[in-house]
Amino acid sequence: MKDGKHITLAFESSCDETSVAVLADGREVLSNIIASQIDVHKVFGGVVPEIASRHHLENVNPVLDEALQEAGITLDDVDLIGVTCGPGLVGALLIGVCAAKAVALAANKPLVGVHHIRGHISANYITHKDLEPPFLSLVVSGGHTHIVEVTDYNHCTVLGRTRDDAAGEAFDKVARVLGLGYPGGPLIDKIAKEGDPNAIEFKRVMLEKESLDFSFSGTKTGVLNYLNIARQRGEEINVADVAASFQKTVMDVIVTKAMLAAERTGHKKLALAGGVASNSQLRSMLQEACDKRGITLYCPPPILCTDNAAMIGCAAYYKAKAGLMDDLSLDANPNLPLEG
Amino acid sequence: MKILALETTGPRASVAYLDTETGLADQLVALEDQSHLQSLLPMADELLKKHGSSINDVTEIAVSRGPGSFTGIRIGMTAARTLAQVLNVPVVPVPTLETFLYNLPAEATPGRLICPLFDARRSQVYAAALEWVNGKPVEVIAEGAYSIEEYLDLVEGYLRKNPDLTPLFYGDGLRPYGKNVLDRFADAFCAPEADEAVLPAEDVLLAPEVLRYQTALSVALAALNRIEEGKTVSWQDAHPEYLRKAEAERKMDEAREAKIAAAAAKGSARAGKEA
Repeated sequence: MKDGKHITLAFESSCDETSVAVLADGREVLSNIIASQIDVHKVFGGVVPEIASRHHLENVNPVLDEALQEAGITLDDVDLIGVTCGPGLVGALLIGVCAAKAVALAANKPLVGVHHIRGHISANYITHKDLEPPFLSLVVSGGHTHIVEVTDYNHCTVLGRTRDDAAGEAFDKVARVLGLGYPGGPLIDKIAKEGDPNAIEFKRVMLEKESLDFSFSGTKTGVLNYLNIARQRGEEINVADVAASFQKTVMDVIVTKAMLAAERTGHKKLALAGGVASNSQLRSMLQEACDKRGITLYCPPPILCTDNAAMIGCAAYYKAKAGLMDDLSLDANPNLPLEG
Repeated sequence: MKILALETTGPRASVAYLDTETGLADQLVALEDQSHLQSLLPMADELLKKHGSSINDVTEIAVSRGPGSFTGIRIGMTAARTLAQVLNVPVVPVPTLETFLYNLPAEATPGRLICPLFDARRSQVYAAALEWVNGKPVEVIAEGAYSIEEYLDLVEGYLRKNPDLTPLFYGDGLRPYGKNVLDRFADAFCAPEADEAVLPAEDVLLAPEVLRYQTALSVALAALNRIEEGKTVSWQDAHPEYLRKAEAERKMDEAREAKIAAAAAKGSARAGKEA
């Protein structure tokens, strides 16, 4: 406790960001330190798991120090430790889990393992103090594309998910073939602003009529084919037009499915989450669609959309409140299911 | 001193607790292989409690810093660094291959060259050779990633210069390469002399199976020696030793070198033409 408030210390290391955060009463961020490895992995054109794990090891302890310092607390003040225990890269996850468990043992604190996606959804609780379940959530990130019905703080139902690539994966691949570099999302978003989103017609994969699932590999392949044919014909490629058209195609599908889910469930609250939630076009298209239907759209700021420990701390807080505790035998599970 | 030692570089994790005041030395070994993350800290907790201690009594954290399984190394090192950071105690990073000096007491291995080798895949072993010199551990073949023949050449060369020594091999590298070791040294050290009963070569040259692998107790004993020599560090200076770059880095280095070599070849070809 610090100034009468419950203190959560949280760790996140599921991919290429090492993050430690401190939260007061679950929704107030006292510190949220993120050590990004983007520059390390850029030269490889994607995250290299072994290299990510090596960096997590070196980063996690200094980041912990900084998080405590910036929050102005000591470990004595901590009431709860939360950590992402899946899904993600197993070698990366286990650094956070191991560090969190070591703190739990050495400082004698209770421990809670958190699902990474539950964390992303919880970023909305931090940003919107009035938001409470139930609501609908759209989670779009490098590794995930989900439409989720959040029934209470610790339960949710997956209504739709990607059947192949996550949206972020498709962005990374397309960015690579366009020669934009890594990571693809922000780079495509940026250059798309200079292009015509209706210049090229790419395939929109809607799957079965009632399905809320996604498929992006067809769209991705469509872009690759378009580029190959253009190159073979010696036509000049307008990178901005390709990026804008591809982005609009993907976002169209996402927004359409999200609205279908809202219609079907009757939810009037939609919370956006995940790294791709920072995409400006997705935000504006969703806002427009929600406004038309009288749905309130919730969006965390970019710093809480990227992988970060604050969102994990928030999810841990509500899990602990419900008594869903873990102990020192907590394991990392790269395929941790979201439901349950 | 109350040393908590962590060993996670091999298939089975273990934890040891050494109290120099009471002479206590105990360890717990995981029940299952590859359960390091799950079992390590619960074992530490259990072991300390078993001896009426708590984590707050610990004065040094010893850790097997590699080589070995990359993932395993990271679990032990992350736990050690974090425990040390929270408890504000020093870390003793111990070279994993050095710990094999302690699997048997020094008195039980006079005249032996301790030769641990791990299967490093890609036709390599992580290996070293060590011996006791005037009561001090000395690494006489530096730890490194070698091909098995390269390593055995080094051992053979050292033995030739030190004819009183008999090698004693340890580690999981004996699974794929035990035969190479026996082929190389059986005749030299186990040739039957006149009317003398001779032990089978594997009994002479290879450590017994139960003592063949890394354990936290050996890590603790190695740490004790290192602490006496002042070789403790703060958590900031405790680092893993993988002895190998990540695959992606290695491939990138190779591609870069190939490019440089190609450019150099082109350059010299041009120079040759001009001459």
